[in-house]
Amino acid sequence: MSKEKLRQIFIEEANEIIEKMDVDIINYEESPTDKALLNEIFRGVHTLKGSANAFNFVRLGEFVHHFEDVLDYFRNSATIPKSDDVDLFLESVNVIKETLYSEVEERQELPSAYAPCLAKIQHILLHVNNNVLVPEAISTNDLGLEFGNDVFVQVPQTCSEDDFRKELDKGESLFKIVLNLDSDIYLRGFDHFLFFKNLLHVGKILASYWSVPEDLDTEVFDVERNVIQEVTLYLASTHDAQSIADVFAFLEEEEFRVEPIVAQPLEVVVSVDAESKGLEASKNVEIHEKEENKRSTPVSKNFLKIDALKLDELFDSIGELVIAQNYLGENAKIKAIADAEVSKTIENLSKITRLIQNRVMGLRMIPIRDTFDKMKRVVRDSSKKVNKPIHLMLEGEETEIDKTMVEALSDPLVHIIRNAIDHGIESSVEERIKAGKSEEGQVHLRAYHRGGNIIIEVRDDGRGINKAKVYSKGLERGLVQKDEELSDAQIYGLIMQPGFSTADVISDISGRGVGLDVVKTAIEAVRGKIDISSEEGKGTTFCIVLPLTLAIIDGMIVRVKEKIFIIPTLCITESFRPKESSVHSAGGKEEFVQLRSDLLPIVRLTHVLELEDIHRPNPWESTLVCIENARGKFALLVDELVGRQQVVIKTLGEFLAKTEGVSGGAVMGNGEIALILNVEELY
Amino acid sequence: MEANKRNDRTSNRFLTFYLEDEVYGVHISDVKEIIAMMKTTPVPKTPKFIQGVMNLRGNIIPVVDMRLKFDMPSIPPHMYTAIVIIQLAEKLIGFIVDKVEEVINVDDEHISIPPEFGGHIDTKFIKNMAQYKQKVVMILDLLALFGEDELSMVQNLSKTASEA
Repeated sequence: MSKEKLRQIFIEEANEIIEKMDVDIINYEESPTDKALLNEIFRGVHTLKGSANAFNFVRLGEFVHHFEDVLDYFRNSATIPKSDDVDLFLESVNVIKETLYSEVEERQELPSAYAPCLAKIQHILLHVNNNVLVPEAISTNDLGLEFGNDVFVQVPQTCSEDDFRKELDKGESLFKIVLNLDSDIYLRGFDHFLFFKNLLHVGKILASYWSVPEDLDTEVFDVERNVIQEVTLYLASTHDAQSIADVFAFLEEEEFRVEPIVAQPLEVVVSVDAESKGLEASKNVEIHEKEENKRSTPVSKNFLKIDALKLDELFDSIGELVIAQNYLGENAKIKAIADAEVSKTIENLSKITRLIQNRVMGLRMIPIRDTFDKMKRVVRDSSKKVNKPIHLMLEGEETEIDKTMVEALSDPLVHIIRNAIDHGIESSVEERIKAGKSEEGQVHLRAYHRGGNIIIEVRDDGRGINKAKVYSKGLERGLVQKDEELSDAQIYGLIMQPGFSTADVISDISGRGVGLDVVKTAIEAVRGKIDISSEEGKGTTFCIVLPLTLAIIDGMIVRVKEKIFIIPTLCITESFRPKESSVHSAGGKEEFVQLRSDLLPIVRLTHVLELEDIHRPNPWESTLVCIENARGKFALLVDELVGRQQVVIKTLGEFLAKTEGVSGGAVMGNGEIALILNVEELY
Repeated sequence: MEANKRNDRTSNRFLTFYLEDEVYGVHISDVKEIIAMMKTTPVPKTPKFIQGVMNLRGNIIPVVDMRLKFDMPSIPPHMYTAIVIIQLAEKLIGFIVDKVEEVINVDDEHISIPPEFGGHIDTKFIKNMAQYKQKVVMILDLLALFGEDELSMVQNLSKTASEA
């Protein structure tokens, strides 16, 4: 490996460490007694010091060295860092970041904060050394313990499993069996009770838990379909896991799970050695133990760094597989073969394909936690700057979103949060108390799934948006016409227009009028949208609605002439066939349609895409799709709606990437390509 | 070393194909594969010679009708119509030809610079002329055909359309 490559790796790692330190320090401020967290920070700094020196980044090494000393002091003493100290920590992280850049670019000058920050650190150290002497041995001991003790953490067992264990006779062991039978299980000649009966041959069933969907009554009941989602049962048996698994030999591997329940994970290892004759059994036990470890120590997960490009390639191939599979499934000739074997195999193939697809999709998904964690620092900094105490609440950090989306989301979130703190939360504590609110401004950051989308919500309990003020500002800026009637949503939408700012005081943080329009653009770039809702005096909520992944959209398939196009469902508000009386035309050219109280322009798809259109169908004989884009609503005229489908988005390649009105293409079930329309460019 | 080896083997090897009754050649190392004619999806607001896009095992690639590109009349696909897929820089582009002929080996002395005029097509698209078995093969300059300039032309076209 070349030196240059090593350097690259170092820079990448250093950046990761620095980012993590930022987050850790903020978390540490919240729980200053958490020595483990401080150790974590210390470890990062320590690693950084080693690598910096290895690359001869002397100035970085020097700074980090002193920073490490300070951390080491707090690590080994009972002194709790004050808010000032935490400020210094964060400042140091900034200096480290900037110094790293200087070093990498081989610049002579150092960041301006380098010297003063170093002086402050040395000041603390001087103070410290006079008071306490830190024995070196303790710190190394501590670290060793810290590193080593993750492995054997005991997972708390639920008490019911303990109860079952009491019921065991001599020689018997407890097994937990989870059945996830597919919906077609009855057609395959099995049912749950068949397995229950067979299980009685190998042991005795202590209990079973059935998970039945809640909306069962309302569903049309189909006797041939299994609706029971999951059955968990506890079995006492003298056999090993393999013999029990044999009962389910005819099921798919993902449909059942047999787990031996043992009192302590440590014993598991022993018992494996004792009865390692069944290969399957020991495998099961190992998996079980791994799962337990995963639950108890999230830190010790085994990660593999994979080139994102390889993942994309894999993703492409899977897309192809799905298409080929659909082709097989829909092929009339194959359907004509009335053979159970063939149809079963195809059914099986489709199941496996779906499984692979889901798993590969899962690879791209990461929890939003890291992005949320970064916001803690943003909140802290802005709260100090504008001198408003803020409490940040996080919710749904586990929500997974597409990796590429995470990167695109970070800046818009920072903007919105700063905006909330700067403009949303009341300027003074007195004002808040008068309004009957807590002293601290509450900012709530929340992520969750709704429908096929991910919602990220930023809610503050501040002043709310003053509609009248926004409206008059809009008039002033020429964004609204004099007697235009605007809905609430439209008024809130104004604040995301370029060059709009209602803040009375332009602060360092926000209020320059750049910001929210940038946010809007950035979110739209990842095919999302922003909804704002607000109540005066109560607060404001920014709702970012994002598609699940960048690679797949929910599309409405429309037909024009003989051609098929896809419109992202997210931008469609409704579709309708107008009455002849509600269609108006101006000058015989421009057409409009009356939809409730709105008058929408009609845009003919054939016209905007310059398709040949000799026969101009009347709007009342066609379908109008109501689309909302950045400039407003319009009605797109198409021949008919064909259906709705999830499609994998592909670019048309560099050569055609900038084609107007088209944002990409999707391969349909028959192998042909349908173009995805770019609604921003249609009207 | 590696470059030399490649040179010896492929430097003068060309894939030849027909458009009307003229023989053209492209450097074999640029050719990724040849496939039978398949259905393409037209893309609105693109130059006429862009037939559309096709699905090459999950990748969407543009397809150019070479006849239109060279101002010949377009003809409906027939038995021999084929799409030659070339790889230019990182881009894949397919182009439709009347018939793919063969892969030929031409000695250096039989390769010459193109004349100022001749044939259906603009000489800027011709890199060399090659003599092969009584025939004259026009070796195409793929970069000139599908390179940066042509690419920007496509973009300008769509831009002017948007301004109009």
